[in-house]
Amino acid sequence: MNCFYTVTDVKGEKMHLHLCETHPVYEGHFPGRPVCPGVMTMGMVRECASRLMGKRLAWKELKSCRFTGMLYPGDDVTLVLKGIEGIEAEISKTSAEGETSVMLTLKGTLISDG
Amino acid sequence: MLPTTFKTVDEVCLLLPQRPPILMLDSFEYIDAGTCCGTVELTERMVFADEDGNVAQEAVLEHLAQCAAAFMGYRRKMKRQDVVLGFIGDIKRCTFYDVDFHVGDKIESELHTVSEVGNVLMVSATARTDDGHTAVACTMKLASA
Repeated sequence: MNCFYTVTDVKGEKMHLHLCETHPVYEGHFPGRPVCPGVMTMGMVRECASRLMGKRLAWKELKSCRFTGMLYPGDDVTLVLKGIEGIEAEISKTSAEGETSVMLTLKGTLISDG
Repeated sequence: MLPTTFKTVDEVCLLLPQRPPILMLDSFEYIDAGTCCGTVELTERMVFADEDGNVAQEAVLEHLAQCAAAFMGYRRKMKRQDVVLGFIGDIKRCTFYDVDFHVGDKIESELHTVSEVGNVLMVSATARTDDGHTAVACTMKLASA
């Protein structure tokens, strides 16, 4: 998922991320109406947990992953990660008016990969 | 007129709006009102593949979501409605029996309708590798826009 997002800031369990506008996925999701694919935000959670742990992690189980709002190329989002191998994650977005909305909530289990 | 089989990518593309490099469905082995079986071969051109030929686990979930989206598209077409964008509402009870996927792997997935309420379809979904063992299983809700 090269260049899908950049990490702009890390404060403890909170990470600020920018969704890159130019990622090729938006050519196909969807042509003329770019929307961030939900499963790629899950991948972002896994990769950020891997980064915090300093090792590559893989999904073992997802108890639940709920998508409650749309993300678009260019969005700035906040990811909060609690736990690592038994993980709880939340991605939120703050509008230009200052209103914060939850976009994804996830509970799952990550294991070492390799 | 709607084809009666969906064995080619062009035919599958009649049922869902996703396109490369995130099109994750090659064909349907079968599709009817309550079940479907979709296939995909993982390729290096897909966004989930890295330069070493590894494919992220999320690719299989995207494949399952696109099977469900195309399944919704098929059901809409049968009612003479247009195909619309579909989005994952939630994924639950998802187990990854495999954690490593690679370019060249072939995935075959079976979906069963659990419920359909308004524009929300809930399916149970199982993805298997071409040697027949279960790779990923979950339930998934999709909503059409």
